[in-house]
Amino acid sequence: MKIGGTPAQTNRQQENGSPPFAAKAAVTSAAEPVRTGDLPYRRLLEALGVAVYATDAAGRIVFFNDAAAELWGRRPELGKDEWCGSYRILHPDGTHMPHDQCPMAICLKENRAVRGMEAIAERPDGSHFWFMPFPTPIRDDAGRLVGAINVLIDVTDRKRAEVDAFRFAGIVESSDDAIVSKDVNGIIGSWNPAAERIFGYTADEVIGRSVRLIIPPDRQNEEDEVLRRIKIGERVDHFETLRRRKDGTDVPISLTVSPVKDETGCIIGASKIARDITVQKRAEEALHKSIAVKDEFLSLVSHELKTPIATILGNALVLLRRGDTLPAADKEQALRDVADEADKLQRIIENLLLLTRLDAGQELDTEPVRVPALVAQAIAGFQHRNVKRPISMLEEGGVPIALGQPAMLLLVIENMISNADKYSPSGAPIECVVRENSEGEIDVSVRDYGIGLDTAEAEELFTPFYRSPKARAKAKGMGLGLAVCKRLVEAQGGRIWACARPEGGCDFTFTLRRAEEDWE
Amino acid sequence: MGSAISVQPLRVLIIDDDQALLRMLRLSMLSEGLEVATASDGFTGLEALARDNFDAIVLDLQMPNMDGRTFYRQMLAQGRRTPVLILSAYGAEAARRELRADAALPKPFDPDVLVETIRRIAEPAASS
Ligand SMILES: [Mg+2]
Repeated sequence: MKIGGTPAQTNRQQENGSPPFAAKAAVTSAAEPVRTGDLPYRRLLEALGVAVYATDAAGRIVFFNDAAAELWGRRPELGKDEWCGSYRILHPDGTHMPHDQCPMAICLKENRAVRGMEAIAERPDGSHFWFMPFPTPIRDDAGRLVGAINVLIDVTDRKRAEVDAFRFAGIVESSDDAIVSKDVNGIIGSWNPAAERIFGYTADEVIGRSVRLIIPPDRQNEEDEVLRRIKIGERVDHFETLRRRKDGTDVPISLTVSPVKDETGCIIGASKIARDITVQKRAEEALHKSIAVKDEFLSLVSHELKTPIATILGNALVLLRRGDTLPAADKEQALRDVADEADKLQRIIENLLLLTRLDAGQELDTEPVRVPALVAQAIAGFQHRNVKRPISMLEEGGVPIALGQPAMLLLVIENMISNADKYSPSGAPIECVVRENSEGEIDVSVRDYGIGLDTAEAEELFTPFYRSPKARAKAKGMGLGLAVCKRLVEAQGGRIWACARPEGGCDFTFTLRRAEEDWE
Repeated sequence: MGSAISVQPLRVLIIDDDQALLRMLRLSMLSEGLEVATASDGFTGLEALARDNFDAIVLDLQMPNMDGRTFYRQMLAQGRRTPVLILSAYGAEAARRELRADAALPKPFDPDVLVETIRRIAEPAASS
């Protein structure tokens, strides 16, 4: 201990066996070495591994031990430094605490022991320590305050652990992943909010129960394996599996289980982190599905585009090489096939382009249209190419003028007729009906006596590249026609649907808005 | 060909569901002096096979009612070993390997190449 200053009366008194900090009057001049008479106590305090210091009644430091100096990172000037030997003091919230408001100052000013406070001290080198002070007044025999003694307990390590624990708890609470702790027997010890969200059980419902609660019956052996590995200190990393929610549904998760050890290195349990991978799983499935769709699309496109090209190319080559030796009728048929197949290709490409161009929800410019005339035009065109198929049109009553785009409407009607033709047995009729429905809109129906459809697939028929099992068995095609019809009709503000008739065959109907009366 | 310039023309069965393609195949083969019968699916193909003998078969894969693969397996199951040329827009060669068929041509194709291929696969059978 360093002793500074000049001898004073107080200290002389102390040497004479009187108690330290004897009289207020004497203390005011206590700028001399503290030379106490009770040396055994003094040595005891100096030797103590805990920071201890004392002040006189005015708060001037008159004693401190090495442990205190070490904690403060400085040696205060005896008889001059007041209240506390630390360089700077902060409240726990980090705000500045003036020395004359420190616990020791309160103790002296209010003449009472101060307990239960915590503060942070800053050393001259800028480092900090958390401490708990125990300032206690010292009174003389007459009960007058002569000074105070303070013990400073360094609680920095405990505080750091608390802050870490607090931060860690915050991370666990706010995690999107389920974080669960369990003991070596799989009994749940903690359960964070994400675990509640993912598995549907509250913490109260599961703590103290086995984690097997959320494992589907056919996967119970997974827990045996997890526990076996945990007991030998191994980790289970990113294991993809299924767990069962409280409502009985299964959730796909990615599981990481790590052993938890106590201070002595003994395995006392495990922490589990489970990530809900439903979204990832769905994305994977969608990807696989889209790859399958792409493969099927390539196969379809190849078949549907290359077959007409094979006919065109083959005929062209035969006509080119041996045209003059062929009978006139064969030559004419070959040329007709070239023209028809080129026309077929054009339609397919047109439909593909329309489908790509017309995003769902896009609107086409519309104008007043006489629908029966368009249907008649489509029928005439079809009849020209397919002489053998009976096809008729029925106009029910006076059909009002509709709103639509004539070229696109024609394409829709042609696609519907071509669809009906494709799935009808030879000789079966196709009937087109145009009428005003009860809403005052214009209905166009194409009725066939073909393969019919299952109610379940009535919606799917309009999905691009969808082909019903019946359709696949009956004829080739890309599943483009109806999808294009749907986009086109909706882009003109209409609706389209398919309906099977109990006696066989289908009705495909679309509806168009009616034009304003002025157009009549 | 070569020494085996047969008096009898090669008899070919074409099985394809596309009528226009059938007409083209028929025309190009007839103009090359082959004899041709046609069927529009595997089922009618088997019927034709039951009625007549053929030196070679030109077989499409994607067909309604009975597709090309099924036809091929049924034909083998009936103990027939007629040489088969697979004609397809998609995966003709893969199907040939899968079925161990005699030849494959992708659509579209040059009809002369088709006829040459038919002669090549039909010859051993014709000369035996
Ligand atoms: Mg085909």
